[in-house]
Amino acid sequence: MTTVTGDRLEDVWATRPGLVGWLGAVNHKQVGQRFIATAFVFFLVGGVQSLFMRYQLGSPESTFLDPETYNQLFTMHGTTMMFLFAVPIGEAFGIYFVPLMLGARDMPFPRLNAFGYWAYLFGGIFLYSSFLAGSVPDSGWYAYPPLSGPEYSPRSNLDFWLLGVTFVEVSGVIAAFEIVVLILRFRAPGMAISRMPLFVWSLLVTATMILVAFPPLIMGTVLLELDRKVGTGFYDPAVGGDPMLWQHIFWWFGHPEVYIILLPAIGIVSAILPVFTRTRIVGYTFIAAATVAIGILSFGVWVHHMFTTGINLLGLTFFTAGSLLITIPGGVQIFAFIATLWRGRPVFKPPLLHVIGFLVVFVFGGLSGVMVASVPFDWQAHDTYFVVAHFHYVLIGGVLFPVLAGLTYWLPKMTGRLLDDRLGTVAFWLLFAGFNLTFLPQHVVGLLGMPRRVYTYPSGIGWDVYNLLSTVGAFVVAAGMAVFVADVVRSRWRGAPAGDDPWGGNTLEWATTSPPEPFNFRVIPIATTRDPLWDERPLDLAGGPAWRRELAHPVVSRREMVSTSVLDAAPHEVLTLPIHSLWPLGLAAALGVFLIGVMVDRTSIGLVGLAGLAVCVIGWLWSRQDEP
Amino acid sequence: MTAGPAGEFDLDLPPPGRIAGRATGWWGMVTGLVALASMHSTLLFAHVYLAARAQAWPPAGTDAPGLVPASIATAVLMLSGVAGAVAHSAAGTGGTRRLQAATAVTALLGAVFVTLAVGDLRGLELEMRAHVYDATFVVFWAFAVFMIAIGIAGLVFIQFQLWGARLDQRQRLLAVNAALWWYFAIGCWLAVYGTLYLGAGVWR
Repeated sequence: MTTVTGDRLEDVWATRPGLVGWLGAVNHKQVGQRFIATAFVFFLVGGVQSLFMRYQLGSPESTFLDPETYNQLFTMHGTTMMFLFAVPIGEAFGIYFVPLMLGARDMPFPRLNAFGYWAYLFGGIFLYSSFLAGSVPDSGWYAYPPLSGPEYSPRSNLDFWLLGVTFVEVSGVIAAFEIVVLILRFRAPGMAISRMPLFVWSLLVTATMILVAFPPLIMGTVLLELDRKVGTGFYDPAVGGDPMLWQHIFWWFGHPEVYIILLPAIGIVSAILPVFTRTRIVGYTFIAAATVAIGILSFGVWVHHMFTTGINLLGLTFFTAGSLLITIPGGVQIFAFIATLWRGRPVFKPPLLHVIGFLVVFVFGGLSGVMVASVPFDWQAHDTYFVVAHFHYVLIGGVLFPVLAGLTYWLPKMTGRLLDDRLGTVAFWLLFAGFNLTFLPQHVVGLLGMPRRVYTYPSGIGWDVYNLLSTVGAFVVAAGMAVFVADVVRSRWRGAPAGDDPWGGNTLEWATTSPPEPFNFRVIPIATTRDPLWDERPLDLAGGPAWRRELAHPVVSRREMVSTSVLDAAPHEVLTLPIHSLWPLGLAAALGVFLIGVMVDRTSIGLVGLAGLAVCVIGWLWSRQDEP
Repeated sequence: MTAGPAGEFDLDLPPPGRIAGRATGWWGMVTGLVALASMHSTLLFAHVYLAARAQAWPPAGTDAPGLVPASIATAVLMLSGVAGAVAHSAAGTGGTRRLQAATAVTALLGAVFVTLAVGDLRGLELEMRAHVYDATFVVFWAFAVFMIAIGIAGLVFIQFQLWGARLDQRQRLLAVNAALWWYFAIGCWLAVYGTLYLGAGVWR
């Protein structure tokens, strides 16, 4: 609920009152907060699923879960963590913080941004509604045919997966092109591309990768859904199709996705390290170049997921080389981070602890990645718990620790309240110890031959103790997460006031209030160095050209933002942005209705959805919605 | 002018009409088209992959599609591309009437193309369930024609927007984006034409 203040800038950027105002909000901070909160809820749900699985595997021949339920749980756990948490959380950080770091007031297309969130939420709900329908996806998070095809999955469980994932992917693509345009066109005047924060570099590369990597999966899922609903045979050898086609399409998306998940996390680390070591980052140019190199090379490694599928020798050689090559830019980044730690004066508060947790765990996962990049080793370890351990080291090390570092670092900016250092430290050590206790033994049990995706195992073959340790570790991780969540909840009411800049930050988000005003910056900042708050504190927020004064004290009630040139960020023009819109919600709802029609084979429902889509698109394009 | 470590730069806005770079909406359209091109490339990859692994493509007993109807349709579409380029130019510097006329011609030629292409497809009597060749053909074809149909809808939308209105900056941008879409849709079709029609004998 907002009140009219008499300040035109405040009034025009305020969210409209009531439920309609909330539903029609398009500001990047509201959308970003919703993304972060929703992704975190999905993360907790996916985490609870893993606890059920670990409890089942904690002892041999357990009957806690039946095989069917176990299949559903590992499918939904993987799907949730990859599609509903890991990718969206990176983009969510981008949506919330990149405009602040760039000195911008909002995303370039706020209505599209809001649509991205609603599509993500509805896609997640669509996937989870499979539990209500009693038809939960159970073919793994990669849904390989023929297991996922009409013959072996005749019920609607895979339709929930295919349509829900498509919905979520659409959201990811939309957020990506918002982020690309934002970074290219809405940086603070003076922030040439060579001065962008490394977090922004990582988001630019990530978003560009999403634009190339996600659409093929959307197309691949459409083809699989056609196989299931229409009876085509793209993946069916009986009519000339090939199940390997799915694997190529899926991993063309799936391996870049690992870096799509990882690069924002690298960006978070790059943002936190200089602040908590009180020194400039070592090797800015090298880290940025390595980020771009990873983005390119990540499209040349997908077949290493398919080493056991009969690929010819030339293919094996090429993709082994690609998989090994990508460790070079990865290594450049890690060495630059270590050098920054070495050169600086580390302040061991929870954000830095999580960063160090990232360095240790991720490097360990990277080393086991080099092992499985080697074909002879991969043939032995493929589909064993060694691979499960490897990718959890990469993904939890590469994503969860940096995300928690990012939350402890930026949450004070979002809420205006500090988290508790002691609780944060306890949470970190529980997570770090619990994580290693969970996944380190899985390397061993994998090498002993325990395959992935088995719901139980016989006793007396040497796997019992490792599985028990893993299960104990998983519950320690859960305890660590519980402490972290309790700290976040506690800080909301009892956290010490954060002030505008509790850490002595170097980037522009720390130049505004905590939480930021709806318009982010009354006076658009000018950035002429890579660490503007370290080099120019206090920022020059007075004077300047006429447009700067007019944006600070607008003469018309419009949301205005200045666009800048792509390379050197020279001011280009002042643009107006939409204030409020229900079209994004309507469009996402119509898309949901259409997908439900496809799901239940009801043409009438599908047509209603299509009609809704047409109405919303026309209404959206016809209206400007940039006037109160 | 403001001084920074990298030298001085101008903080003033350039006068309207003298902006050196592209509009924000242009960047939005281009990035969106990159995503769609990636989808289209997936279909192209699927076609090539399946064809390369098949013993015969089209399968034995299936004739390669005739070139004449598709070539006529393609020629019409290329003509519409010329009209689209005129609309593109009019959106930048021309007046309302020129833009209206060019978009109308583009949409009309696009509609003729769709009619010809649909007629051609019906004549091929493909059965999507019978063989993956037929299914690949139809889906690859449908993606391109769907892009063209959306382009026609966009051009019609612009016609409505221009009805009795003065051409403002937003409408110009909309028209430029419609032209970009049209070029993309033509590109999609040319990939289909080149692969499914001209290249039909490559895999035999």
